[in-house]
Amino acid sequence: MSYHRNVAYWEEHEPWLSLALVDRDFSKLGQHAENNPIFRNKLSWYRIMLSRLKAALLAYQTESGVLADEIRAYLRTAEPGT
Amino acid sequence: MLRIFRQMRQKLLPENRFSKYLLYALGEIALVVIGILIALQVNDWNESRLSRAEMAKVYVSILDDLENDYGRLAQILPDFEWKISVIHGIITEPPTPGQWVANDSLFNSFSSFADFEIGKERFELLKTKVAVDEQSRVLNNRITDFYKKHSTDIGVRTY
Repeated sequence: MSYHRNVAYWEEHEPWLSLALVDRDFSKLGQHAENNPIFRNKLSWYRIMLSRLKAALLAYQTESGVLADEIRAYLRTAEPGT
Repeated sequence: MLRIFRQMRQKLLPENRFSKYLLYALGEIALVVIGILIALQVNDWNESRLSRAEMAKVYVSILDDLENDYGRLAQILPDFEWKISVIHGIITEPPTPGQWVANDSLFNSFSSFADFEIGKERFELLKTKVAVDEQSRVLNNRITDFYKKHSTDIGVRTY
């Protein structure tokens, strides 16, 4: 599941997205949000992707804190005063 | 010191006391060998101390990377939270066409997200170093596994 690859594909194949991205024209988005199942499908996909990415980043953040503590502990025992 | 040895040699040789001279010679050889061993040990100890100091520098810089990433994530993760909740709102209660035009944050919620790349330049530096002891070998493995796991996990979702 890749964000950049998918959005690049959408930009090419979904005119409403490139219109909104490039021209900041959001007038078509309302219609798509209500009537276009593909639009809703893409948003659902994006939400799931974002949730998973957030979970992965949160896990990285938490574990980086743990690893940082381990490195600090090593530095304290191996090189006093480092 | 050298003068003392010379005097001992000169004293023993004329007296023709070969066995004593042999004993003395062996003692002198033993002293030289001990001296060399001590010098090697000191050199070894010094090299080990330098390697440890160098390895400690690498660990400190990795620590720096981890702390930077931790701080950056503390800034961007709330944005992820916000986007997820806005998108959820768009799906469950689609905004009207007028709301889309009036509020560009609706579109911004799914058009992009803050790019995040794991800072691992210093980790690359660690790959060129050899562990200085068992404890650092364990720590190096731990760091390698950590970056391998998270780079794959985050990379797969973004690119």
